[in-house]
Amino acid sequence: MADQADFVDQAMEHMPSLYAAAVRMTRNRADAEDLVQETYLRAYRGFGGFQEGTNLRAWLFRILTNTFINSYRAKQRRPQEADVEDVEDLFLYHRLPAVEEATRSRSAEIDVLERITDSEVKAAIDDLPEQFRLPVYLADVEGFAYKEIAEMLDIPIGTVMSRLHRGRKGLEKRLHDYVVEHNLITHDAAPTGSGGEAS
Amino acid sequence: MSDECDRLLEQLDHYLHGELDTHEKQTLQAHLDDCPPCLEGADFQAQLKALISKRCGESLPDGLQERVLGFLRAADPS
Repeated sequence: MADQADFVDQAMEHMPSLYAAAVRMTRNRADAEDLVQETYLRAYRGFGGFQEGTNLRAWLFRILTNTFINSYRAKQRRPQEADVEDVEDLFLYHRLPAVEEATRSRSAEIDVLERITDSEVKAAIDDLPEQFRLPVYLADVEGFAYKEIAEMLDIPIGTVMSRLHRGRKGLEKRLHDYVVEHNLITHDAAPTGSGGEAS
Repeated sequence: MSDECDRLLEQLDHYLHGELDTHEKQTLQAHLDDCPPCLEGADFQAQLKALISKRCGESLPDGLQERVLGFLRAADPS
């Protein structure tokens, strides 16, 4: 059984990743701060029940997720049951051939990825309906195993997998829209005056 | 791309997430070794996954850590 006196020493280092997750969950920085605060308070009170030697980070994320679902979801304005458009496997990859031809470089597709900004990736995640957003974030940003995500969200592992599948496709579709809108596919080998980003 | 490519690519995300069992993993790895287009696609998906992760950082708001510590000190630990 864990000693509450050890809580601060062990748990505070996880705050940056909990806060970043809270921002994506709530899509609102003020709510994210409140959510993190409440998560730490609940975790502190429940720390006696935490089994030492098990994964503290996963335990804290489980509390964060539960607190979000129970306390903050009601405040979210967007509908929860929205779906995302299904697209085929390797959707984004198969839509970047123009770059490959223009530069004759195998890494050209990856160069396009590097030109997608932080804010665009975050906006693409924020646009996913919650049922897809949480599994995608927990898996692809935080690297939790499907089983851990199933426990955090209290849904079967098969549901985690199907939501991840759809959510990842939705994310690719949105990033593809961005790449097209910003002409990242058809840029010349030596772009002039478009974007101005040093390579 | 062949039907085998399509069938195995459905498992690519699970492979990249380390969620396939040993047999499934070996089957997919053997296919990638023999199929350059799928290998390139798999490389791209791995880079995309890495990009999504590294683009999601948020800086901690000033004072949040101190505020949380203050709450914890004031909280009844029972």
